[in-house]
Amino acid sequence: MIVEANGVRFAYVSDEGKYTFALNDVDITIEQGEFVTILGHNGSGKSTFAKLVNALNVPTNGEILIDGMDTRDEDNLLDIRKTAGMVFQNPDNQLVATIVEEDIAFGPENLGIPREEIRERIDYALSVVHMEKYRKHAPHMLSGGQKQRIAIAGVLAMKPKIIVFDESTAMLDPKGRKDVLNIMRDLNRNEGITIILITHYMEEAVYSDRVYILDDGKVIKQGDPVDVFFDYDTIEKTGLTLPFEAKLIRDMEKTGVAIRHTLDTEELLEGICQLK
Amino acid sequence: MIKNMTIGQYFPADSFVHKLDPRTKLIITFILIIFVFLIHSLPGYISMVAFLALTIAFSKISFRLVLKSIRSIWFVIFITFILNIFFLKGEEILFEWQFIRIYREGLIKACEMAGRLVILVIISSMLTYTTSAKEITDAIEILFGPLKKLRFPVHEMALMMSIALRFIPTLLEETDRIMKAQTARGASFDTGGLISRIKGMLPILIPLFISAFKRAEDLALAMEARCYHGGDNRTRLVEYHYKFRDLIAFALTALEIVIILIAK
Repeated sequence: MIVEANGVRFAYVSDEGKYTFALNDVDITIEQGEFVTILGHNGSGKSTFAKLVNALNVPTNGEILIDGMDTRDEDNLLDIRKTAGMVFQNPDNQLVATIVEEDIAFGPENLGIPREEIRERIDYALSVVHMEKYRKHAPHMLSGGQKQRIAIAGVLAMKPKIIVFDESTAMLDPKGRKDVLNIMRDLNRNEGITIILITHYMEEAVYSDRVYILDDGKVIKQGDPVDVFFDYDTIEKTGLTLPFEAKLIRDMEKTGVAIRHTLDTEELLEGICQLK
Repeated sequence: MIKNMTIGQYFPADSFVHKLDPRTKLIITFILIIFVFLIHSLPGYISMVAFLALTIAFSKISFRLVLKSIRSIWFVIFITFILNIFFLKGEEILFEWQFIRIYREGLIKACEMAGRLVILVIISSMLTYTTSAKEITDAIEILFGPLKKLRFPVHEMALMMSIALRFIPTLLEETDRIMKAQTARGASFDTGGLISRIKGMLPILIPLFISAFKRAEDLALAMEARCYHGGDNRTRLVEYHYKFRDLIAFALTALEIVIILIAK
């Protein structure tokens, strides 16, 4: 298990001293090499969970183990952050340097990695996100999707085992979103990196092995995306929007047409063609 | 308006001056600025101008850009000139009309002050034209490194400087966006008297400040997530080494200083 959350609760304390639980008794386990999507609406606690994986937050109750390391132990802090990288929502607010390669070097520099190796890691990270040409560019000249790819490269340069994407596509245009999603898939398949995708767009879960649905701080459903998405009653309760394919199948079933459950457009087309 | 400013801008090129170690450039700039105030004779000024002309020639920076940097502070130079010419008293009157008297000493002093200002502006813009922000902050961090022993936060200061520079274009873009949004709601920024114009800036400044704080918070989180934990045990991607050309630059500067001291 690379991520193991047992009975995790996380409370925010308001000014009047009142506790609000953003996460309430959450169990999530993720294996090395998995692609897991955590879905939830605003205020479901999904971003709180993301920050727990990176030890930016520490659980109020319960424990969370990253590659066997307890996030509550201060001594593990750097090792945990090295193991679990994080890409945030706003591409502008996570780039530190004025030149792309220097920004990618920021993480490895913090870890005290020798210069020659940092150079190698920059080459590697830029090639994975297909941004080799932009090595010497200023980040503010790039598009949102490109900036987000640089942010991913910056995390990759620390050689993490896990990358958490905390709504990293929310501020991008459709093209940028697609590019970033494809990179997530490649990272998972080719580099063997565990991906945790936090989002409220259900259609982004297409590449994932497993889906968790969070609502009001609790896991209300988990499993294979196809099984989870076609549990219409649960989805309706959370207020999430079904992807087009699932919605079409749901509407067809309502009118009495039986069709195979799938999230793949091609497979759906085939299914429709085979209808009598 | 802000985008047209040339002071503090970097113009990349492949030249002798660009390739100098940023520490060399920073030290030489500092020395020259001090010695400008020690020049009191015409040969001294001529040698300084020659030195700067040589620097400009070996930097591939166009002369027009250098003039542009002076133009941006011409008003300050003009005021200094006027103040000196009218208010300095001497012995030999050159010009007299009603209560205005211009003395020879005043005229010389005025020319000298204006000349000094021009030279200072050229020196400092030559530094920023040929040295990137990152190089300057790196040089400051290395040069002031020994102060770390006195618990002076050198690394933090350098990082703050570079982050500030990194966010200038981002915040400029944001200002532009906010201005457009407020204009769309009927706000106007360039009509009315001074007071109403200043009041008109508030709807821009407040959202700008709020967003800047939000950005700072996000950035701090992102830096922490990337294992930032202060300057200890940190490596640096770019390493600086003094080369032979730095020696040449220092030797020329030393020569210039000797000329200034002799011509005094």
